[in-house]
Amino acid sequence: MKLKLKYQIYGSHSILIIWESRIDYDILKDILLVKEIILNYYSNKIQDCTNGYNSLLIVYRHEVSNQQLVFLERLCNSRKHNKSDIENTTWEIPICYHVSLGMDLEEFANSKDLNTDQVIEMHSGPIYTVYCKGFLPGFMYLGGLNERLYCDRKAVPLLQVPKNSVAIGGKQTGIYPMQSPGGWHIIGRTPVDLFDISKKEPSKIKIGDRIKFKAISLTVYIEMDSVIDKTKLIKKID
Amino acid sequence: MTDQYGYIQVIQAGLYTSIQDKGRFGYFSEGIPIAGCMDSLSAERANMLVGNTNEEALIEWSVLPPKLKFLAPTYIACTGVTANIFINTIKVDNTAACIYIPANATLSLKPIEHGVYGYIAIKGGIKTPKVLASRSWFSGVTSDAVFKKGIQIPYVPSHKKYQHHCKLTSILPSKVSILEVYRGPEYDLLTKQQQNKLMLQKFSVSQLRDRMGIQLSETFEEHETSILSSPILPGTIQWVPSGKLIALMRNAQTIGGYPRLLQLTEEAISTIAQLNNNVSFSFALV
Repeated sequence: MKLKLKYQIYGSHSILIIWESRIDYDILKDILLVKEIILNYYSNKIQDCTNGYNSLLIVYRHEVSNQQLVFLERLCNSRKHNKSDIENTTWEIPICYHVSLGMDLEEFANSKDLNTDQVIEMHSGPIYTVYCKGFLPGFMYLGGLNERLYCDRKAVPLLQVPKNSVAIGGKQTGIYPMQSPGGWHIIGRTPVDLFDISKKEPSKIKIGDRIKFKAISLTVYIEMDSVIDKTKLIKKID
Repeated sequence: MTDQYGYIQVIQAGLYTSIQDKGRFGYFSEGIPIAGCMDSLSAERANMLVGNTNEEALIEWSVLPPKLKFLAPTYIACTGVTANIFINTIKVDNTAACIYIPANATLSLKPIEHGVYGYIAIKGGIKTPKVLASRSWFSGVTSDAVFKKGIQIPYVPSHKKYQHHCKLTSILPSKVSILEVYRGPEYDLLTKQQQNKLMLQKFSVSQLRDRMGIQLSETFEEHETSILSSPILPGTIQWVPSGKLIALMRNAQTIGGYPRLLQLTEEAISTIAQLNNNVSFSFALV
């Protein structure tokens, strides 16, 4: 079944394509397929192309017109429904859930009627999917959080969430790749660098990739934290 | 190899002074904001005055100007906030002219009136390193985010007499009453009545403003609508649950979850960047 799309002009230079409003792996597959078709077809006419959970933004180098919208719609409608899975890599990211790094872990567990071990198990259990990247350089929007861990954001955001904090907010979990204000509950920290500007590819995890968290002790965290190239601590797994 | 560069020595940093160009394109999908000059029109004029293309990077300051010592001769132009210009404490021409700076001269500026962002263009452009195809400073991407006392900024000296033919008079529009907008992706979530209200209501900018965004003082309407995280652009007017509207600016994050009601035109983005909070305006669809 072909998914139904909505096309909108957004500002003077962009077109936004919108899918049905839900977090769904089939939608992500379709977004990535449409993205590939558009990038292949228009490559040098496009300045930026980026997606959300159910949307794709295409920023052109020139002003866009209604005619272009119609043409883009025709191009996208020509796609064949793709049954095969998207190419992806599964990565393992070590996380230390020690209370000295996950400052909200105990309070978070209490509010959920769980103990901290149960939270850790539920958080490091699933395989997450990277749906989109944004917010901060290297930040990944992940799908797959255990429903038992859904939790409203903090009423008052923290002004300085430490770099590499692992947090839960709403129906999502994520890692802050750099220090930033944030309203999510901080439950741990990773020693890895998700974004390194000195690298040709500053963040090596791609949209569509899978993520598995691995709980590590504080001793291992401290050991890993002293490694020079901390992007190498992200391991590919089968 | 001899150093071909002249340097600007920062004597006083000013407020949020940074190097900016047109912005960093092509990395939006990595979550890297576009950045670039808040008031791109004033920046373009400054580059034009010294004979640069508008691709060149320049100095952007906010409210409080920097004090700079130029170690090699060059030509500069100041636009944006109207200011008196002093070279070695001697008052020279006002803003919007091409000015010769001899070696070891000190430039200081005294803002006269309205406006928020000032630009200093240097003939040949600023030559700080490009990171991901742009010189725009952004914390976490470039090694510096704002000017600090004592840092040095490279440029190519201009010894030759440069014939400039550009002279601009009017700099910033002083009376702004209308900001031109397009409909945003979630504009249709509003009822007809709300759409009318949005176009009739008077707004002004609040103190909550930086390179990421500008919150408007007036409340539109409270709501509980959220959308799945979706791409946003500089110039997008977001509607937050408290009923406030936020104009996203150059350093805005790339993805957001609030309804995107309107999209400012490129000119309106530059205009709102320079608005003081005593100016009221309304939106008008293009």
